[in-house]
Amino acid sequence: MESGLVFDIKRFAVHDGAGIRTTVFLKGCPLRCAWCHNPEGMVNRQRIWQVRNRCIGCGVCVKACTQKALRAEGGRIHFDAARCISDGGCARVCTTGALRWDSKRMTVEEVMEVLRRDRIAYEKSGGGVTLSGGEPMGEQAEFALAILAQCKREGFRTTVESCMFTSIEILRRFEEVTDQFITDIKILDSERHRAATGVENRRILENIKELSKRHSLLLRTPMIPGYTEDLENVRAIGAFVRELPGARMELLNFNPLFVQKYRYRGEVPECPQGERLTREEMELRRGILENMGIEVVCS
Amino acid sequence: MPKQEQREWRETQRIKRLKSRALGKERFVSIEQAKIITACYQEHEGEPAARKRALSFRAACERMEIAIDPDELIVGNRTKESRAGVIFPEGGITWVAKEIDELATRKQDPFTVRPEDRADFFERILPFWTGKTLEDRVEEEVGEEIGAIKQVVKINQTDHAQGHICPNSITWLEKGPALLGREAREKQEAAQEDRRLFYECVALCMEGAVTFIRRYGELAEKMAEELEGEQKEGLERVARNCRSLAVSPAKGYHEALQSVWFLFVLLHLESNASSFSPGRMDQTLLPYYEESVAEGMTEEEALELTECLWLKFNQVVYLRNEMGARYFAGFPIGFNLAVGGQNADGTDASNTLTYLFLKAQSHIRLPQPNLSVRLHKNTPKKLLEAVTRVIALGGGMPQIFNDESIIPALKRQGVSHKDASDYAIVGCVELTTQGNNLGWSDAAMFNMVKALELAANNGVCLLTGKQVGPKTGYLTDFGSFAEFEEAFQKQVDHFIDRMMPVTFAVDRIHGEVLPSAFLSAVIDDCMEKGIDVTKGGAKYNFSGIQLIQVANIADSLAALKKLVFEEKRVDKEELLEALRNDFEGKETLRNLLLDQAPKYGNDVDWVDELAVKWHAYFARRLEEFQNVRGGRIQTGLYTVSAHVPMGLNIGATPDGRRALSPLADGGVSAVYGRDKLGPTALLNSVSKLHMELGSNGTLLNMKFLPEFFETREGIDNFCALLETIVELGINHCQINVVRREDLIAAKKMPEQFSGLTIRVAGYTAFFVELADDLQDEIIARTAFGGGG
Repeated sequence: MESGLVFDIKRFAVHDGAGIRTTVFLKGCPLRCAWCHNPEGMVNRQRIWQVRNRCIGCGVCVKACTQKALRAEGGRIHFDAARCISDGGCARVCTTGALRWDSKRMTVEEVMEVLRRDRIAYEKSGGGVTLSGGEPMGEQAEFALAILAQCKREGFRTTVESCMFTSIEILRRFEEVTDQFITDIKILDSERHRAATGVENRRILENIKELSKRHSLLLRTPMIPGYTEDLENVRAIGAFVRELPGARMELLNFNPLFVQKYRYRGEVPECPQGERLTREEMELRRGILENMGIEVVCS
Repeated sequence: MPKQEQREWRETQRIKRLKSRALGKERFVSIEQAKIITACYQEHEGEPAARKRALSFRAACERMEIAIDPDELIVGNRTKESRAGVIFPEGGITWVAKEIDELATRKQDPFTVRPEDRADFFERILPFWTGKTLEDRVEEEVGEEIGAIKQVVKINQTDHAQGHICPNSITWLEKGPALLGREAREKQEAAQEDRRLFYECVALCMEGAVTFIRRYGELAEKMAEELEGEQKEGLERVARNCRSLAVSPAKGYHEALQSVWFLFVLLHLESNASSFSPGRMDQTLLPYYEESVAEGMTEEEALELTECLWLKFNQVVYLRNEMGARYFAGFPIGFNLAVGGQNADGTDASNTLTYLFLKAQSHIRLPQPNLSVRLHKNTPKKLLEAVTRVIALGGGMPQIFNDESIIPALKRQGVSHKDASDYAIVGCVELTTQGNNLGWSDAAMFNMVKALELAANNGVCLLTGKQVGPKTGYLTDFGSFAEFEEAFQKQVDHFIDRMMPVTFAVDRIHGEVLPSAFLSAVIDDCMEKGIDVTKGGAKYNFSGIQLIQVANIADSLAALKKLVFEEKRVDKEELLEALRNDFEGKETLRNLLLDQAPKYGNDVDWVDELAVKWHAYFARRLEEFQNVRGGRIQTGLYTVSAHVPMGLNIGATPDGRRALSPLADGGVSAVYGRDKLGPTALLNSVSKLHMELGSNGTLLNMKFLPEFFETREGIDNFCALLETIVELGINHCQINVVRREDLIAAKKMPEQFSGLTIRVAGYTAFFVELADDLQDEIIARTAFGGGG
């Protein structure tokens, strides 16, 4: 039985496609976006997290750690992620869930067992199952395809949220088992794209064009200060999207809350922690895109 | 909400003025009626209770001071000052004597006592009533037993009339007091000797009602002479309505609303009880509404009249004793009004008034009426959306009731299909048929978590060290989880068997001390049989017992099963010792219990099944009994605010809960913050309970952030969630919209809000797991103001 690393299963997901959905987050992303909101989704292996608010400072983890990555000081436990080899010793003894795995290995059937539980809500709301990440079309594409195929067999509508950095062959296989695609479109200039995400965008843009021949896409652009929200980029994206039949866009405002997950690993994100865009700034960008004839939602 | 809709929904200046005066005044204790009743009883000493009750009701109708606000279009109150705490001697005043000096300063629901009233109370009222009240009679007959079982069983209705009843408003509207009185006199003539007194009492009460209504007409007329413009015109209409209603059936919408309100004022005047329920008023009043529309009434006029009644619902409060106020905080008086629902043939019953009432609710937004909506599989999308938009305003109303599970549950209890299809709600969430049912829905509360504590500790209370239950062994004596459950069952059985006879005795004493002829006239079959409602005259006669609290039971049993008996990660001796010491010095053990055993509310089948099993066991045991009125015993799963005082009575529990801390709120809700997988998982857990064994009423609380309702998709998804609730067969759900204050509280008390999620672009986080600065950021952006 196919299995994979799932870093979250979010029931009652209402922002990942139509209706009420269950979203499965798969590890392993080929991109390294400076502003990544799900940093635990990048690498396709299990790592340890420390959720400090849950720690009661009991210290049982300090003894369990073979790498001296945990140290008690002033009633609190300090976590040195650089020393951590994620062998899970601490998570086994932690009584509060403060130290925990950032993900879980699950079989397709185990994932399906969760997905089936909200069948009624999917039916009533026109929702279904969404695969997200990390990246569903990345290192765990086979696992993702197995889940999607099983979902189709059981009559669930499927959505895939992807960065689209994948081969045309993989993309074709996903098309067979996916009803709706949500894709990121971050930066149109390839060099800037590479600098911000670690990869060029040629393949991404080709895949989006290819996919839009058969699907009405929802394209999402996060508004990241210093990376994506400049008007030049917004206009360039608009010019690209305008040519895609039936495509809609969603502008996601920058959210400073995203640093939280980095803190679980004692890290800080690469991207500077800026401010959210004001309502006026968001409206300006929406207006630019709408004037180009594109349907846009803001959130 | 779109701007245009806001304009359309705005309340009139009259309503704004009335609303500004409706609340906020100091609440006083009133002994006016107590003096009238006392005088009447003294004058008629030696006569039957029913006659003295009827005569003193009539006297109150004739003599109580009355008042009208010049802006009112619907008039009437049980006291001259609104929101007075009425002392009602027939129910009980021993507690008043003990608590009168603390009434003004008590934490929950205080009332000011005027010094002259205090003096009158001790000189003129208390001496006469000592030994004669319901409270005293109950104390004399079963007081000792009530005390002996009180740690597990709280017996209710010991010092006041029962209420919790939905009168037949149609009978009242179509006949009115004059005709009901004439009918009673006719029946009195024709009746056998033993029924004559009943009919005479009904006739006396109706004489009082006629006078009461007429007095309001006279006052309105007099006041109108001094007024001008809108107020003059308004009170002239009021005067015409009252003059007509005193002698004739209601005609048109305005009169019908006024008539209904008089009915409820009079019911309170007679019984001083909590919760008389208007029931399905969108059904009852539709013909009157249509009649007026045909004569030219506009929707705006109808809305203003409706809102006048909505405000009146807030002017009657209920004086409870200190303990009662804690169990039922915020004087819920329970004008429970149910809209929507289905007809007996299964078709949708919603109509223009359903929407009009929702509009009124969105304007008035006060605690009363307790608005409920009945949903079913054919509820139109339009109604779901209208309901969602009112829920989004906060305030937890309307509550959701589910025809698909409730109608079969009532039929299972022997209610006819027609009556079951016409169900309404009394009090908070208690289910009733309309106009024909004394449900006695709050006979007692059974603290099953306490029974679990006793099962772990050989029947000895962890808090007092006293032997209160049978000696069924210590946790350390049990070799398996099954053995522990066996001891638990013995504790539960012991207290059920002692509880039921006490509730029956209290029920019987009500019939002896508090016969209620006025009420009986508007409850089907009492007039036909010539039997008072308190003595079994109603068509249906139930009793309801509340099981407290399935979530804590499931969580505690799950921790024992998994961590103690199966995995043996927790030592029995260490746990028992920790429970006795409230986990002092055992924080690691406590966290292990909290974190390492799954909890009810997360759709974990084996845990939820523990809740299912013990609820079903309890409900089926109760069904072995029959009450003194010949009716069945139903189980309810709701607490109102009792989860706090009930928790204060329980030591530490194996789910990691500390001694004295609150139990799960609601009734079938998960323990605060322990449901971590969102609403669908919680709903699945709840739906596993046998809802048909919760026919007295179940209560599920859910929380949503206001941002959920801000988009079209959010509204649609919420409607879909409501449909999911209907399909899952969950009896009831109340949705609270989390406000800024709640988030501030969540920051301070994370353990109570650990299930609260918040969307961060791209993912959703648990609010309490965010760092301080981030929490503050969210608090800052969640400004949930008045809306509307």
